[in-house]
Parts: sequence; structure tokens; C-alpha cells
Amino acid sequence: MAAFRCSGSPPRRRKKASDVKLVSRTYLLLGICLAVLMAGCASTHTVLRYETDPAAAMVWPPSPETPHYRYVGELTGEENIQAADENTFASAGTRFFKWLVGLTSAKHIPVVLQRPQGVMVDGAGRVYVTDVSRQAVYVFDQAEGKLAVWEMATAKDRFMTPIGIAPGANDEILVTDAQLGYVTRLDREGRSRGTFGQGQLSWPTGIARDPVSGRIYVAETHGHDIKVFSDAGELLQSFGKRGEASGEFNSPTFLTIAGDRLYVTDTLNARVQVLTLDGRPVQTIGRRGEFVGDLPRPKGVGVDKDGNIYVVESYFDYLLVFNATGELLLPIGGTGSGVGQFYQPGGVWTDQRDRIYIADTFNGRVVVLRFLKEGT
Amino acid sequence: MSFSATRIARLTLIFCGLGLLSALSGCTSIADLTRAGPAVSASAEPTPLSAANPWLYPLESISGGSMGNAIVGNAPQRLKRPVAVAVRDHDLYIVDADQELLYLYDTFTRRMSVLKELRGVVAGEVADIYVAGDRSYYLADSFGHRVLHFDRSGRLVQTFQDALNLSRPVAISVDETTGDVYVADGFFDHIAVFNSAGKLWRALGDRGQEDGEFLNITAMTRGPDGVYVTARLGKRGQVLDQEHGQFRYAFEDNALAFPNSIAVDPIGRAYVSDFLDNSIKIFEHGRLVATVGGTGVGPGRFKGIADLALESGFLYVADSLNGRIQVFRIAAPPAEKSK
Repeated sequence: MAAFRCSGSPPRRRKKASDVKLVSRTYLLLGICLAVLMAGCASTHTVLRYETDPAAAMVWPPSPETPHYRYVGELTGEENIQAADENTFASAGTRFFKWLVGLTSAKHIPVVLQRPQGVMVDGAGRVYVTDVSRQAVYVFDQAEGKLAVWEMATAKDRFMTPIGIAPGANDEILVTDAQLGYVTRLDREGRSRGTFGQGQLSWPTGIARDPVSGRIYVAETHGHDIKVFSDAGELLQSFGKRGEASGEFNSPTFLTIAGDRLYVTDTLNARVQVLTLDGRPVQTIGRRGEFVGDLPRPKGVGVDKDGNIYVVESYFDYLLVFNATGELLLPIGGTGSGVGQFYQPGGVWTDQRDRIYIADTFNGRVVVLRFLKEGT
Repeated sequence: MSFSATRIARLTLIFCGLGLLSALSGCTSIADLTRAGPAVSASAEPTPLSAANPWLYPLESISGGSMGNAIVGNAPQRLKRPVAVAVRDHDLYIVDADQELLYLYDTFTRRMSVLKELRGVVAGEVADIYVAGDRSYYLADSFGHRVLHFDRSGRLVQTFQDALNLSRPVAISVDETTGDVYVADGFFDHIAVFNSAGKLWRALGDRGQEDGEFLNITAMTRGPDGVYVTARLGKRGQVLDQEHGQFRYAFEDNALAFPNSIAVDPIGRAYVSDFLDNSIKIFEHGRLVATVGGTGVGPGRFKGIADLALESGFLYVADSLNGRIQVFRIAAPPAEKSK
């Protein structure tokens, strides 16, 4: 109401000599009003929203069986960032002001995920997503309700093909860029803190860091091996070569570390290899085939804190859940763009809150599921 | 006037302040939302994580599709009673007995079109359909005592009939390298083999209750072990050698009551629908390993399974009285012990 009065026309009852003075004063006050409104605009709080109603959400396996996984929601871009409360005076005023000056009709290019590849969640609940089409890293900050897009790999290089992403030492974020051929370290604001692997890596993709030893494992897709770096960026070791035997790789892509085991998606060998941290093979999951549980095109791999292994199978578009011994427990997915479907998905991440994040690449979204354990 | 204007400004400030406050309180309520959920209570008996049915995973249910085009208009069309289904490169060929139509359903676009009107073309219900690699298709015309072969545009190219040896064709399978057409006959209880010119040149099996003999054949298909045949009576499931018709093995005794359709995957697992209990029974080289389904309308439940079709790990089930095709993904065989 106040907004209408201060920006509306002055009353016309009085017609006196002081009218000029009155008009100038009204404009002054109008200016003050606008300044206040814009201040309100600047302090509008936004939140990150992606959760659907848990009571109505899809579950796996479907009823009448006990559900173990529940659909939580999806991250697509700025759609997830909304004003904390749409009905505050400040936001109403802002909207009115925008309408008044014609901002609402301006062409707006939305910030959306295009082809998300890798996904990572840090301890503070920030979701980092690499996007090979947008050539950037998206940061969905749940605590602050903000979405940031980091385009720069270093102070002078833009990201070209960012794929793997993992937490590094001292709150750093490690990102592999396949085309740039190195690993960049970013701080929490997205500023570069240096790179490593230049000249040593040809097409780095997956990345994982062992928090105990501080060793960083990088999958070399075109070099068909795994390279190990220290936190300082020094090349310590390299293992594997092109081949089909255990411990050999054919285009390894995604990596994860759980306990003292390294999980390598050996994509063109249609399997996930489990190795010790010094590269000795101990287990193989999956094989070529057309049935559910086969891995014709495995991508992301993740392990939750209960030891379940998640493998993204991007030929038939499934998230496959295996137990620690490699038996298939449950398939989630199928081709499509609906809830619970994927279209050539990429990476997967499990966090400490029993959530599973899947980069659903060609649907341009990150799908979030929750592990319900005993069906709660 | 000036007094009232300052009052307005003051009011504005107060409202803005209130707005900010409410925005902030909105933030705290969101913080509540993002908190982790309640702790999971420890239960003594952990539920097994795997699905109760680890053989066939329901993927979707097709009960119709969009038909028409931009000129005549698009309209959804529902299936009424699909009795035969075949699949080729994820295109489904569905015979609807109530509508007397042969539909083509594209599983990618979810669009449906009428391939052929069957009224007047076949004498009764179509018992089986087989689609070849060139998209020509064969229809088993049970009551017309013949098998009809149509090219991809629906022109009749060949009629397979033999008054003395083919009376009630129930199933068709075509060897696409030799062109031989295998037709199971539920009256003469043998598999009649025609060459591509339509001439009957041999038959596999005979009527009887011994090995390699059948009573009332209901379905037939070919797979890695040979020719798989199911029958209403006698030995319910048997596999014959494709070349000479010798008996290879029979399915487990008493596993099947009323088998009426069969599909076999490339590693030799046979899926047999049982009309009695609306289930699909899975056999590995004759040994029953699983029974899936049961009577009902939900996913993974059936009413009158009329036909099965299988392609690249997908199993399509003509769930006739539910008016739908159910699609399943087949599970991989258990992995060998990892080294």
C-alpha cells in the first residue's frame, strides 16, 4: 500500500503557490522510497529448493515391497533458487519496481545445467557439478541458498571439458579438465590455487583423494592407467596399462575411494574394478551383456557408508545398486526424462546423509535419491 | 502535506523492515527443512535390500499410445485385448483381438499406428505373430488353417498351408538364414517346417506322451538349445533338436499346469507363461528357477498372459485381459565368484 502511495500521483486538492516546492519534495520522497525499496531488494534472501513431498515421492523397490530408496528431488539450475518468502513487502515492492521500469519483459537467459558429468557434495552440503557443455562448475549452495557458476580453471584458462571433481586437502576442490589436461585446485570461492599434472596427463577424467594418505588418484582415459599424485601435485606412482586382464584398463573413467579400496570404472572393459590403494586388483563387478546387472557402458561409481556400491550404467540408463560382494541388489531407472528415469547419466556421489546424487547428463539435471535403509 | 509525506516514508521504512524480518524468518524455516531427517531406529531383523523378485524388473506398462498426425489430429488409442506381440528393434507389433487390428507401437516415441486391419483377412483370432528382419510379418491364422506372410507394407506375399499336415497353427518361428518357417500345429501336434516358397518339407515331433511327443501344443519358439515346445497335456515343456527333431530334454515335471506362451533368451533361459496361475515360470535348461507374477492388475501382475516376446534383455508380456503390454528388464545371471 505504502509503495503505491509514494510512487503514485500527488493529491490534486490544493492548488497554491507552494505547489512547486511540494512537487520537488514529493520527488525527493519518491527517491527515498525507491532507495529503500532497492535496499529491500538487495537484502532479499534466496533458498535452494529441490525436495519433493516425501509422502508422494517415488520409491524403490515399488510397493508392496519394503522401499529402500526414495526420490528426493532434482537440481536443474536457478529454478532451484527461489526467494525465501515470495510474499514479503520487500519482494512485492521489488516486483512492482521491476514492472514499473519494464525489467520483467527483458529477455532473461536462465542459468541451467546443460550436460552435467561429475557431481560432488562437500561437508557443508554444497553440491558441485561439472558441466561439459556449459564448460563450467556449478555450485549449489544449500546453506546460503545461492547458485554460482565457476568458469575459470585458472586465472587465465577457462574450463574446457571439466569432468571429475573431488574434495582436496584444506577445503580445496579438485577438478580434472580432460581437454586442458591437468587438475586444477579451487578454493571455496572458485579461485584457482594452482594446478598439477600438466604434461603428465593426456586426458584426465575421474579423480578421487584418499583422505588418510593424502594421495590423489586420477583416471587417465586415453592413457588407460591410473596416476597417483601427492597433495603437493607431485606424481608418485602410475599403475595399469591397456588390456583386459585384472589390473589392466580400457578407458577408465570414474573413480571413488571407500576405506582402503579404489573403485575404477573400466568403461570399455564393461566392468568396475576394485583395487587396493597401491593398485593391486581384488575384485571385478559386472561384465558385457544386455541384462540388468551387466555393465555395457558403466560410468560413475560410488560407495555409501553401509558398503553398497552404486554404478551408473549409461547404456540402458540405470543406477545399479550392488552389495559389497558384487551381487546386484536393485536397479533404479530406465530410459526417459520422467521421475526415476535417466538419459545417459554420468557421475554419482554418495554423501554422509544417505543421499545419492546422480548426474543425469542428457536430461540436464542432478537427481537426488535417499537411501532409506530399513524402509523408513 | 510534508508531514504526511514523511509519515509515508516512515511507514515505508517500517514495512521494509517488517519485510526483511519476515524474509529472515523464512530463511530459518528453510534451515529447518534442510536438517537431516530423524535417526533411523535400529531394527533387529534387517530387511534384505534386494528386490523380492530378482529375475524380472517391471519397467513400464503400455496400455495404448498416441495415434494420428498433425493433419487428422492426434488422439490416444487404448489397447483392448492384445493377444499376440512381437518385437523388432524396440518396435512392438501388437495384435488386438477385440479391435481386430495389428498395431505398430514405437517404444521411443510412444506412438502407435495401425499396420493392418485383420477383419476379413484372418478367419478368427490370430494365435501368433512373427516379425522378420526385413519387417515383413507372419500371422498364424488358427481357424483359417494357415500362416500368412505379409511384406512390410501389408501386401500378402505367401500363404503357408497344407490340408493334410497343418490344421491349427498356434506358433511361428522363422529361421532367417535358411528361410525355413517353423509352424507349431495344435491339432496334429507337430512342428511343420515349410521352405520359403511355401512347401512343407518336414515335420518335427508327433502326437503322444513319450519323449519328443506332444498332446495339444500351445506354443513354440527357437533358442540356443533347439526348438522349445509347450503343450497343454502330456509333457508340458520339451526341447527338440532343430535339425532332426530328436528329443533333447523336458522341463521339470509338474512345474507347468497350462503353459500357453514361451520366449527364450540368448543364454538359454526359457520364460513360460502359465495360464492357470497367471505367472511366468523361468527355466534354465529345463530346471525351474523362478516363478514370477500372479493374478492382479498392478505392475508385475497379470490376467491372461497371451504371448511373450523378448529382445535384448527386455521381455514384453501381452497381458490380454488387463489390456496392456507389460515391459520387464531381465536380470543378469549371477556373477561368477570374483577372484
